[in-house]
Amino acid sequence: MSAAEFPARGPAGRAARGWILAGPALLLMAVVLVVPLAVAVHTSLYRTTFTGPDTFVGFDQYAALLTSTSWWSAVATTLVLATAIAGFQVILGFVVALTMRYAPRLRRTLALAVLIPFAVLPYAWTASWFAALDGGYLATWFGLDELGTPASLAAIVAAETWRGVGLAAVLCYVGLHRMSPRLLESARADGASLRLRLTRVMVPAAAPALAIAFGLRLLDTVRLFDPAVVARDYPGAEQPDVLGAAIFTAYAERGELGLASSAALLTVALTGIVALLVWLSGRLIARLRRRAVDRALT
Amino acid sequence: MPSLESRLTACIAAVVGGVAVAALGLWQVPRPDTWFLLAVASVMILLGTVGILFFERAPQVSLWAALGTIGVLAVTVIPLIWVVVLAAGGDQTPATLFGGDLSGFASPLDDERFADLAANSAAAAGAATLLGLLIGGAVAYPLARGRMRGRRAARLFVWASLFIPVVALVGPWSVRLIDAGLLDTPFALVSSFLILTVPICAAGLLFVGDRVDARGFALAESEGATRWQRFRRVTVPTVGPGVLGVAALAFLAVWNDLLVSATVTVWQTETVGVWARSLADPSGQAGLLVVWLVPALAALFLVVRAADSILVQERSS
Repeated sequence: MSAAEFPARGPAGRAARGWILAGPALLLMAVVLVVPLAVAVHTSLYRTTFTGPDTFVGFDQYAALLTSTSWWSAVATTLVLATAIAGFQVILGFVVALTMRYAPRLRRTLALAVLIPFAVLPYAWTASWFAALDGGYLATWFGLDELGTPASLAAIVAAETWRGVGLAAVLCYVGLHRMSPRLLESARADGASLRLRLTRVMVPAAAPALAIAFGLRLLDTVRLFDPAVVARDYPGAEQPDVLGAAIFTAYAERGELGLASSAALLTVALTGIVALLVWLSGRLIARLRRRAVDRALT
Repeated sequence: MPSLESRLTACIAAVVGGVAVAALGLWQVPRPDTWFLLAVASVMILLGTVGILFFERAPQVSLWAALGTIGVLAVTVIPLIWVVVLAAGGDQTPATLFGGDLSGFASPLDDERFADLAANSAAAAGAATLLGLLIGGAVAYPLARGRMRGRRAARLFVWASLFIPVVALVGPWSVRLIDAGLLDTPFALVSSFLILTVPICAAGLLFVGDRVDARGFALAESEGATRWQRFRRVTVPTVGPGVLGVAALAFLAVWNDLLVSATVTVWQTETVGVWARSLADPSGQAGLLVVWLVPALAALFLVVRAADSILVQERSS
């Protein structure tokens, strides 16, 4: 083979080198991620326990889950909690991002302050929120008598919101960072009020970043685990039916490996659907924004 | 420069907010928490008053930013103070934020198992982060810099991997570990942690790689810099903070993990994350949180530095 036949240089050569570099690593990454999923597919077709013999049941366990009210209740609870948490995170994160933008000297300090909850032990962090609402300072400040359902849910939402506000703030800040300062100057020169500048300039300009922040936080929060486990362990707390904790219990504590694998794969599918919805919403927001810009220009 | 209307609204918001906080402190909250809320309220009211009196003299100061800073610091600091107070409270949960005695701090360092558990966590987190960086770096570099066919699909796979529910991966993996008799071994722990670190490192390094301005490399090459000089003077300052930040994120994910460790460990390789669950009272858990947060803060500094460096690079390019 002559040198001309072997694409060592030029675009083809670069592409070949790229795949030679990335190929093995991608394969390794696929092994780390795809092999467990393949094992889950296999296990989900059997009624498998720690001790008993494996019985082939086909798709029976999927059918049982999809027709069970407790499964759909867990799906609904997970989605409602995840949406609420991601929503609060983005709203608070946007406020923090605005503060960081207008106090550039304090940017690092503020970022560090809001990111500290992200670095704490999630289990102990959530337990501290439960304690605050169960006879602790929040119960005293707001006159709460007992840890009922609303207080339990509030503890989970607050703990998880606080943990993710820092990340949401950084994502929102990236969006605000890209906003041209001239845009605001022009609006101010045109006499736009504070409310108009916020609603007509800042929020629309940061909308794609806000949508991305919400989508990313939502996808991350769908995997909610630690707070649900705390709720189960904390005496007197309401135990929300969350997918992650239910699957973990089936795997590690009840040993229902087949059923747990079916539930795990359905959860992967659910996450995929949520990701698709987030992507479609992002595209819709981008299209609406383009249309609004076109309308403003004409 | 902020407008007059904006500054006036900020001043009014500061005064009204301050009065609301003071009202909460005076009528709802017992002492000594009252003093804390009154202090916050005083700062807010003072800010609003000073803002009204002097907004002509210092127009460059954003009152909204000052108000936001007070709010952010207050809501960040209060839960952290509570954790320390709770850790010192013993069996009885303290009813107020201040006024407790810190001498009863429930330190996990007094427990004889803590050192072994911390060593397990640190070793597993270090190994999984290092392996994650190697695999993730090898995936991200060509995908960020190369122009090969199938690149978009490979990038999508990397980003999607970040959001696969961990429980869906670690559960089936634990089934194979049980079959192979490897449950509760260092191999089980590190290999399972790769489920966390590989996606974070690959996606994070891809993000960093996409934002690197390649002009610096080309310029150094054209100036005749040697390979070592290019690495030391261009690559390390440009990519270094981003790589360290990604490594810190991956490390933190493993450092604080409960799910993976609880699934693949029993006793021998148990980590601090799982041990937190076995501590019966919130006081002990809070003490553990405080002690365990100290090393994590160093990793957090790296994350903040990396985010800042990427933003500065983006702006300059």
